[in-house]
Amino acid sequence: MIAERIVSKIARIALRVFLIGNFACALGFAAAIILSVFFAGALEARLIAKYGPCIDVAQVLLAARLLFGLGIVAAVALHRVLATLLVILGTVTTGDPFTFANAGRLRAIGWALLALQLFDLALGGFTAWFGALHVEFVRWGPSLGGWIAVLMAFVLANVFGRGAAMRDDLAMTV
Amino acid sequence: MPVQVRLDALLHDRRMTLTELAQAVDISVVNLSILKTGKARAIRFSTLEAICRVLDCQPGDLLVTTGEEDL
Repeated sequence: MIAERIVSKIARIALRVFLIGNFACALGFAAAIILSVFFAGALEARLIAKYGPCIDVAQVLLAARLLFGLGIVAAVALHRVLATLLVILGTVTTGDPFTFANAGRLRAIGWALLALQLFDLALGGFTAWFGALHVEFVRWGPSLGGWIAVLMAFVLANVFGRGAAMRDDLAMTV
Repeated sequence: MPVQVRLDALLHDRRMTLTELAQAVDISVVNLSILKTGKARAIRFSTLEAICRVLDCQPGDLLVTTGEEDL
């Protein structure tokens, strides 16, 4: 019981830290889009200096802004996952996690994780796009673990829903 | 064909209150009230047996099916 409480407390702190980090990332992406507009000239000069005059600067800037925009969308999805997990954790602490509300929350997490996976696929597209533009970019590979996490969230949502229904039945058994 | 609980009628026939029955069968008044008002989803054999023993009746006297279709 004490160990459970410690794990719960650590998880809550970690989730809060991730939430703050995620919010900072979203702000960073938004700032990057705004700055790329205000300092477009300097950015273009820097890109030409690094990759040579043949580079399609307009396309690179467009790709970068789209990437940052998608990053904000991904941060919103991740916020949904983390904030919902925090609420679920709260219900565990109060001792009543097997509820229809938590089943719904897990389903919401599943959808948010699916959105993140789609973002990951889009990231693959960006990798190819930046590659075609001959611009350095991160290496990308499909995330199998992420797809499994999506499935797990939906399966767990069903398990929680069934558990809540069984508990309701038991509560109304005389 | 929904199952109807006739606990109210049986208690009336025996001139017994729900509280007295609760004390006799060692089940809370709240739970018996759930059963009496038809809100219960299930009844344990042990509960059925205890109620039938105290009220001196058969399970069929307590639970009856009504003609209405369960929608």
